[in-house]
Amino acid sequence: MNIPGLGLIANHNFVVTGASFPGDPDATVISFGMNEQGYVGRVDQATRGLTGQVGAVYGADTKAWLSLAGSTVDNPNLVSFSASAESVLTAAGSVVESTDYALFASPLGANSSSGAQAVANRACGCEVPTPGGWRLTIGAGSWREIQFAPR
Amino acid sequence: MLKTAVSIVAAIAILLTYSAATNFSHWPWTSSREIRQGQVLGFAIGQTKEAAFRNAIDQQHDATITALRLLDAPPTTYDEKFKGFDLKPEDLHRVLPFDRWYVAISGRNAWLELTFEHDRIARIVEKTYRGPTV
Repeated sequence: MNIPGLGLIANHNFVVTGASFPGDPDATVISFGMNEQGYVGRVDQATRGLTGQVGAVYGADTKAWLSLAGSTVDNPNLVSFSASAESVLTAAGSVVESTDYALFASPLGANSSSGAQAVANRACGCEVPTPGGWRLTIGAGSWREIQFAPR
Repeated sequence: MLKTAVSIVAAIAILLTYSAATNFSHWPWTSSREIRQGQVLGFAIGQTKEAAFRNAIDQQHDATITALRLLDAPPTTYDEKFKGFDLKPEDLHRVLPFDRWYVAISGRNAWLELTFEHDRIARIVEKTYRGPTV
């Protein structure tokens, strides 16, 4: 989506599963970010965000998802991949939240897009293309930093 | 499209994007207030963990707080994490081993950090976010 400012050049990624169409309100939005302990983890409506706003990342991701209602999957900001909802939820829930969070992911840490990319790849069993066209998705390439609990 | 078969990675602009161009007038956006005596939302200096947990249940029941998290718990998975959304008396044993609690306050961009020493609340820090919202 075209959001003024840095959004013109940089993305934040998240995962949605159980969707029948873009913006499906019954789908599950899976957001990653900095958890309360400073690690990359799944974030929800009670998580203090990076800036301090409670529930900011999950809320913004949900809002962004819902705003896609009426659009098609033929959108450079979306990449659909083959994975059951169960496998996506299992992957998302089994991320070990022990990787240091770094907004600009590097060897020093990973970020929200690293978590989303890692979950998508894990659920798919493949390397899911990173959406967002030409814009940077800082952290998506650091998905290998994310660890999963044994199944 | 089959509902169970469709999963999507979606991209939006990074969160700070919304904020950075908006307003720095309240910078730093998060302010802290340390409580050295008295109480906040029923959490009182000197209160035992058990009493504080009972209060958390009451506050959640009254929709004053949304969740209680454990800041000094070892890293784990989200599925195994104590998410603290629906507190029940039987959860007491899960929180007793830990001395740093995070309490998300409802309806405000604010939370409490409770620090226990020798089973009693020794420090309460109330943090409030005053920056732009997304």
